[in-house]
Amino acid sequence: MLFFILKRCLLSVLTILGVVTVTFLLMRVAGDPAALLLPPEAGAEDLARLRVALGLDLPLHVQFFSFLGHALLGDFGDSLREHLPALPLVIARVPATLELALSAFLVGITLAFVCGLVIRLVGSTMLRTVIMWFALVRQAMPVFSFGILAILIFSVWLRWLPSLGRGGIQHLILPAFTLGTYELALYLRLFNLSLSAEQRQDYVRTAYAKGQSRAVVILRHMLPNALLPLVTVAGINLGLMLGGAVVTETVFSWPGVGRLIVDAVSQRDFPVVIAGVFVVSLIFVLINLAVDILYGFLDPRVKLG
Amino acid sequence: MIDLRPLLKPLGMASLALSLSFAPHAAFAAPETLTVALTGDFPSLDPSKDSSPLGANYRLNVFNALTAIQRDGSIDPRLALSWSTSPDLTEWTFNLRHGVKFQDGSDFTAADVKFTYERILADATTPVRSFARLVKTVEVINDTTVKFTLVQPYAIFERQVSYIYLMSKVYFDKVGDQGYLTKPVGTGPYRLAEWVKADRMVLEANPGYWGGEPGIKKGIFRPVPAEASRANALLSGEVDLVPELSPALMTQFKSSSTVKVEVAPGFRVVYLAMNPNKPPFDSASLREAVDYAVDRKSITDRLLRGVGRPTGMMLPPAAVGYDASFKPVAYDPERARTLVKQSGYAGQVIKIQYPNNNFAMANEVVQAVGGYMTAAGLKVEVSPMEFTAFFPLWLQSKLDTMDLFAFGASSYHAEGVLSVLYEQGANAFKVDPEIDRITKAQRSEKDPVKQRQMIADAFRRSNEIRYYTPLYDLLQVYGVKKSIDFTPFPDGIVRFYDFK
Repeated sequence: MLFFILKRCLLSVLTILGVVTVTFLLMRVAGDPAALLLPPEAGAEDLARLRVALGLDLPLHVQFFSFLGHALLGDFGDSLREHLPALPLVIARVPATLELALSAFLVGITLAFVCGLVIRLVGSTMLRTVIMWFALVRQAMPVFSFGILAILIFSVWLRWLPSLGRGGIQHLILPAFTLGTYELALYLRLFNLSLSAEQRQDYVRTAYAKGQSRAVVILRHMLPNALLPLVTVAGINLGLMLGGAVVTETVFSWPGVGRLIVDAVSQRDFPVVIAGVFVVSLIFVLINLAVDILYGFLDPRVKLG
Repeated sequence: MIDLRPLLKPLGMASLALSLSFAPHAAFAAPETLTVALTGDFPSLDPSKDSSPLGANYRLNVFNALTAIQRDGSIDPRLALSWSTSPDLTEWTFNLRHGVKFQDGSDFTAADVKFTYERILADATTPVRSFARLVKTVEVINDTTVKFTLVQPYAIFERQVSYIYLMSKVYFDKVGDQGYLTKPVGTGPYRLAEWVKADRMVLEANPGYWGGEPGIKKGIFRPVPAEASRANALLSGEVDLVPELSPALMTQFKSSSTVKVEVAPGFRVVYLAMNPNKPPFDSASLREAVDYAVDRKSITDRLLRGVGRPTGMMLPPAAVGYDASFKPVAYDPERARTLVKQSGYAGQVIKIQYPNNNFAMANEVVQAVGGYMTAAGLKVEVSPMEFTAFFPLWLQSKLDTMDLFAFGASSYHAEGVLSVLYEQGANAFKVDPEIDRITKAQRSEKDPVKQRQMIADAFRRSNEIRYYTPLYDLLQVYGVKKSIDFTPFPDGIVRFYDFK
């Protein structure tokens, strides 16, 4: 087990290093931030002077190793726009994204769980068809459209919920619901599939033979096993959402990390982009590791390492 | 865009019911609190490190410069009461206002002016430096007098100083760079009460402001990047004012009883630039052909639905130097076709480069222009670019054959356009020596009447050689609650102190 964790940690470090290097090269190739930092009134000497001051005139490998050296000490440089250290800027935005992603994760899982269970307990194919249809319609709508529609209904027309920003729980409802229901069709289908797979197992037949009621068989015996695939997939999705649900953050003006990175890319604010990518890939890698370990605990048949 | 028609009736009825149930504002009185939705967040709180138009919303309310530019383009004294210049226009002396205090209590003196300018000039990475580079030295004569020595004669330096917002030397000595980046102080009508990044900036009225406490007690800026969300926030009542909206939303808002959408003058002109250094636009008759091929009136009336005015000058009406006698070129497709044939156009494809996210309906306008050029016999290809890809090329004069852009001088003076688009070393495909000469001459012309004549000459010549051809004045579309009386400045920047 320990060996497994160590091996995964090493792989994670290499993954993050690779991601950061590729991002660095892409950003350098993508364009010159100096011109974007200047107003239209700037002249050619202003541009040249700025490039030298930012170190952009140095050869690429010099820039890269200088960056790497500082990054290993935790210094990702200063944001070119804000003139403040980049890494703290990114980290300051993580709680907002965490709040949104975790809420969306819970909404998605809970809805899938409740709906899946209701379908299974009631046993009606009609109910199953109707619920799956709604989930599918939801998945067919792009996040942007669904978000705007939700705002139109709940903020503009009903005036029940705010549409902007972050604050109390009422600000969280619409964005979490928008983001969380996106994968609902997938979760429902997966959950139903695994419940059906469990249904066919021997232990179910044994439980019924021993006189257990339908509810007990489903809830106490089948459910824990059926939950595993759902939790795995949802966990990976959580990692993706933590990477910044950019569209949801943009529609609801949610001050998260995804929006920060996308804005920084548009502005060619290199230090913030790289710091952002670093933080996001770190979170993603950690979540993956956690899911794998958790799975190992939950399912004794799985051997880690 | 979501089709709102099914929702219009319930929306209208709901809005009506809600607006009746709310206590009505006194018509046209300044509200206590005003919430504004902007397109993005502010880059930096330090006024010496940011020159962005978005940031100007913050700087204009929290700080003062020596002067300020008014709605009509004229100059208003701010921290400077009066000024005088030496005969050769290189030495400028400003007499400063007495008894002004920064928001931390420190006194404003000439030393703060010297400090601010020297700080900016010493920093190679700040974009603000481009606005201060005329200054060679700043000298403190006494507490209320400061003298600038410029690197070249400049007739309108009192306009140039309006870009530099003054910082407190005493406060800076106490808190340093970090202090100004996180807890800035200025002499302006509002102080920064709270800034939650990407969420809100709260400005509170400064009771000790030398110009009297402003009417609006609390001004709130909220960055809302998605345009549909800005519009919805206005409809839901979460914000009171949205300074930048798409013209497409105007019809949608007509049925609202709480919110109005209006059009106001802007400060930019949308124009076509043609590269005279290489074929096909090395031919003057081909450039002339393009000028006659485009139907400006159809574009502004039908395509833009009135959010634009055909123009014959590379300056908007708000700018000093604007001359109403310049008429837009009349649409003449026959003449265009003849000119194309005469020019010896060899059939090469003309690529029009333009930024698709910098001004409203750029895509549609470029396609219309391309259509008109095709009708005249030219082969056209449109090349949309993100602004962040287009702008560096434009800034370094690295664009290709033809481009469409919107430009205006934030100084509301022809100097801002001439120095950026026409002068030697500017962002031009090719510099015309005559216009270059006039630009330099008008800069040292003290007599405003003579200066205007020279400016008019320069633009007349520009229309003759057609390296640039103006299409229409860009107007701004804004949305605001019906209970609020708001008239925007041409630059679209929200000045909370401007409300009565």
